[in-house]
Amino acid sequence: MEIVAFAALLIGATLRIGAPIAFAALGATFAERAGVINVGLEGIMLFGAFAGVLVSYLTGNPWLGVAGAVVTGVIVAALLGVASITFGANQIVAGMAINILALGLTRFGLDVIWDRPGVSPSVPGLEPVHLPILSDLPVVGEAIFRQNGLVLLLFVLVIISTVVLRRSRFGRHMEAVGEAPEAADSVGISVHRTRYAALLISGALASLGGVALSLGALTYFVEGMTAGRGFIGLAANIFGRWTAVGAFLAALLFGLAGALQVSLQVAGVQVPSQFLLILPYVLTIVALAGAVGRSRAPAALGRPYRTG
Amino acid sequence: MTVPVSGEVSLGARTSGGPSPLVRMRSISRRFGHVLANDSVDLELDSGEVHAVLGENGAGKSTLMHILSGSLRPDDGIIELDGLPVRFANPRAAIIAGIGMVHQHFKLVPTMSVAANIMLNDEPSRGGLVDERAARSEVRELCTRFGLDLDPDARIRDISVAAQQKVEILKVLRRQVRLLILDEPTAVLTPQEVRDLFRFLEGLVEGGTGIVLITHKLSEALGIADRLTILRGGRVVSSRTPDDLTPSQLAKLMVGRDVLLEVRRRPATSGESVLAMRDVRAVDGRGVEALRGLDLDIRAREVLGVAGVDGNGQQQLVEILAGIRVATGGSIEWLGEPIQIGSVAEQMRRGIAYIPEDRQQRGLIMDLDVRENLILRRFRDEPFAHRLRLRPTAIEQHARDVIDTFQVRARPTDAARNLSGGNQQKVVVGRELKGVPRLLIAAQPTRGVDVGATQFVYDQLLAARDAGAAILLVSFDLDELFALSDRLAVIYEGRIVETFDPRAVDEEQLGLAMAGVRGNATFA
Amino acid sequence: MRSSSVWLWPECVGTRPLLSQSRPAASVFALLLALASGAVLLLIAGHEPLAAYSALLNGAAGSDSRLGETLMNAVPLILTGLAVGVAFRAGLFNIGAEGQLLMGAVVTAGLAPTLALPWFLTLPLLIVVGGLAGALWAFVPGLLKARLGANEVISSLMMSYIAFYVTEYLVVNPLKAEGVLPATELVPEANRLPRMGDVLSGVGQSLGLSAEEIPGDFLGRLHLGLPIALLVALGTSYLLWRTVPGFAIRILGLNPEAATYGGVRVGRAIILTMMLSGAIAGLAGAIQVLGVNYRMSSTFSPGFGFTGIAVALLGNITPVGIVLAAVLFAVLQTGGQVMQRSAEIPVAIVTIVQALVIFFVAVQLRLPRSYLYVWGARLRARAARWRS
Repeated sequence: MEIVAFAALLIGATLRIGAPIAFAALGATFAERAGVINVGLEGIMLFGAFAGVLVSYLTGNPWLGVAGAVVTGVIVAALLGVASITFGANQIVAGMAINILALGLTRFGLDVIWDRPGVSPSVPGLEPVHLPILSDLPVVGEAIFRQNGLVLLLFVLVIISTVVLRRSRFGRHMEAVGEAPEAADSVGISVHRTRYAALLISGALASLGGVALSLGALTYFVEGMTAGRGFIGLAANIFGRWTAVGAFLAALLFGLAGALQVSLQVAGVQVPSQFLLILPYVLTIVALAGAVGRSRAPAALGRPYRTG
Repeated sequence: MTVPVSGEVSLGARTSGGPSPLVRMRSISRRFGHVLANDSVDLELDSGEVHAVLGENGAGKSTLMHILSGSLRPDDGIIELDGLPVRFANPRAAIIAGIGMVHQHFKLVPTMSVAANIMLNDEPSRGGLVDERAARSEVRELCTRFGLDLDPDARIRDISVAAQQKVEILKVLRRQVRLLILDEPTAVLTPQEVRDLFRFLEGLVEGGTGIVLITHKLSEALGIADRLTILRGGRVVSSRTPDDLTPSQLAKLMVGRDVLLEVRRRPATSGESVLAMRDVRAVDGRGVEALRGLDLDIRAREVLGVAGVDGNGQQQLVEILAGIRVATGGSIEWLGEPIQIGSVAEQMRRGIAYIPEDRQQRGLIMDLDVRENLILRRFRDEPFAHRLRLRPTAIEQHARDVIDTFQVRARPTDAARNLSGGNQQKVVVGRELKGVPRLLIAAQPTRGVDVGATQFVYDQLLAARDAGAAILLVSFDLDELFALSDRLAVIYEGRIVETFDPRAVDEEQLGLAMAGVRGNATFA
Repeated sequence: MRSSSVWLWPECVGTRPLLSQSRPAASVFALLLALASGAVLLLIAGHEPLAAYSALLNGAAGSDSRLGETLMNAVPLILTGLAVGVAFRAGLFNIGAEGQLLMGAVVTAGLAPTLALPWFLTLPLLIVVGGLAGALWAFVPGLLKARLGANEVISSLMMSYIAFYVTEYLVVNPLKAEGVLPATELVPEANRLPRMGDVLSGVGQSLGLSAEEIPGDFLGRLHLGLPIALLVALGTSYLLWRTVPGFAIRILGLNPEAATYGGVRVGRAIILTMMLSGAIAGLAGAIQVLGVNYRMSSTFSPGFGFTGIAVALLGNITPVGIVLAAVLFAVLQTGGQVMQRSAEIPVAIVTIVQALVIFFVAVQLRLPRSYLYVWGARLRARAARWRS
């Protein structure tokens, strides 16, 4: 297979595989900047994937499915918020509980709603979007600009997120809450409310990642289909140093590993799949080892805040 | 009746008129658990004057001012502003009413800029986005107006502590407050910076702002205050002008006992050299050099007091001797032999005991019981352990012994959390003093401890001294230092600059040394 | 003036509340609430909760062999629960127990078919080797945390995923046995953990009892791993409360600053505790290979390591609690499989109940009465302020 075609294939695959991770990574960025470790991203992704398929099945409209996924993600995130922010439950434990709950509830749902073990029926999925000039560009058009709507939404969201995080009042408040909650509290910023907001946003983003998987890359739900992408998203955020663009690029990098594996297989090259698949995890550990010291995590990350 | 809404002030019916002071606090009471921090306190504050609120640790000054600035709510009593009763739901409400507080521990976001911190939660914005240029120019304008010098774009973690304090002050001043409360502002400043600060405050006062200065430093209070209020044990002991008040009279009012200033003790007959430090250097937690060539000698059977403004290296000195921190330069001799300090365990083996300055954070484990806390340092050694196995009977017996000897009001199985502050400190002291150590490092040993337990601690320290120990007493409490020390060293900017005989020096001389001034020269 | 931190101690993520509360009542309440929620879900789905739960209990303990099956499934949970629990005690979140378990399993499965020594040598050797593998796998996150302050949640989780793919590769390539299955060679009978039934009949015979008096088929597939796991539980208990290193671990978890002041070398303690935790998890893997699967495949673990976290929490991070919690989860797991077959109820309900248990434990719900009290007090305070 010639190089250019391979490159196009690779880029396209990277975007398709990396998009769900990127959504999750963005979600992690928002949550962690405000000081909340959202380990439950994985579970919210799965819930989102399921909800998207369910709504698309019921309405026949995949974009309604996307909306349904976002609503679900926000609700689950709210639950996580109540547990960890209001009740002071340990964020990591509550998050893991959500992950396991997602596995169980979605499996249960598959059984109860469709009476099917493991896979849902095929539902209307997101079609690739045709952009006027861009999609018709020779190589790039196929690879980048013929993705489904969610991938394009991703690009937009990355830009919006960067602006919000760095230049908006809300972004400033989030930074204050994540770095020095006492300082934020002393000027009247509600630490709890800001963290809730960040958590809800991260839930919405994570569920977008889930539905990008179930309705974007595929057209059905498979039990456990997120397979750790939520955690990879968490890792991507760390690798990307807690910035929106960094998280996005890191997620794409991690997606590249998976895409390489697929593309190489298609191109007929024999490489044991596991070598490429462990790349994201190894890279994250490298990042953890190197990132600390240059760019730290938000100082108050993971600490519940008790108002006097 | 009015409804207090977050961010707003609720006003009630007007009380009787007359030329009222700016603020009047009436019968304010506030309790924390068993402790009555404020007991029916009355206070009047005027604009255009500096009012110092004095008192020891735990006297209730911070609590009172937190109530006034809206961070805490009183259990009882009224605050009147311009004659009208007010109730602040939160600090924001107080600021809107014109009362702002600069905290002792700065509430700043280290990763954000000066301008961002000053504008926090009040940022100038255009369409939801922060208007950086407007923020910057407002900060510059504020700086000019108040005669301060700050770079709006500098990050908080990159600027000096004094500059950070200015940021905190600007945060408050920008809201046109009429009353500015400062909580121990000079604790983190060099003498030059203190002079700058006081000059700045005087400027504010001339402009009509009222200033409240919370402090425990007698000389400062006497120097700048127009009026003083002294708190002791949660109550107002005196409220007056500083005329005709000497430091020792003031000290007596604050402390309420002569006993403290004249602890009877046998004069020291100091013995052989226990510890000799030469040109020792060290850095602090942020990598800044904290000890810059420190020389120190301690002998057996003497109490060496170390006086100094917090932040001059005391902490690092103590940590090195305890084995928690490694010195970056210089030499240390122990009992005449040069040594390298390797670890905490090694220091313990040498017979070095350490009463840490923060018993709740460092000295005790709140969730463990008295028995376990008592073996916190020696759980590896006989008789508490045999090889790797703990020996519960020995541990229990030890607890009983200490409780008996030191009269701790607790049972061996009580969790440390449930003991009073004084009893907690007794546990720490009992742990460190059971058996006479060679060297005892006592850092703020009576902080937050009631009178009775304080007396007890002093007795124990002196008894240890008489039994042969060398004692290094690091304290911010000058009276304590005067009472207990056989020699009094002053630490300034990481060096011991002078050593006095506490009976032959007065507080002013000492204060000058602490400020880095000796005779007519200042220390480099 | 605050004392500055002397070292780069990263925040232990809220473990102090976890460790300083001992509330068996909260655990029980969480369990009941989770079961009730599960019942509601079943009702919605058109099933009969009581029938479902009784089928579950029956499936878990309805007969000797079923009980044996349940206890057999409890063994890895006891061990992973202990592994996670020991780490918790030091203030560490060993989320990567799963990876350590897998490494222990693969090493044991790879080594076992090659050994031909007498059983009293091979079994201990294999088990120790499995533990070592787990310990080494936990070394990396421990080192990262001790030296760099890197969050061990993420690093150990990443190691878990790496372990999963590494063992998958090993199972499919180098270690693969002949045949179609992606699995390692079978462990020879001589090197397997004997069934409890066999052990008991062996003991009985040597005591002179006749064949009828010995319950040779006692407890089905339950193997020697259970007593081993219980011994490990006893050992952990002894370690934590009766030994010097255990004391160091506990004070480290409760207050790292005070622990330093007490002479504990924090970095070294972190690494050693993580390795101990990893060793126990690796042990779990080894025992599963030697006692249940007799080989390793890519579908080896249904998430024992992750369930271990739940077990540790539900069991209040005490060895006794962990054993009980492990048995409980095993009951749910085993009974659930049978329930699915016999009563046609989706086994996913078990997963849901498990998740809810963790969730409710994390939230530390107490009996409603005490909540009413707290809320009542808050309402009263707010009313007092309004009245002003």
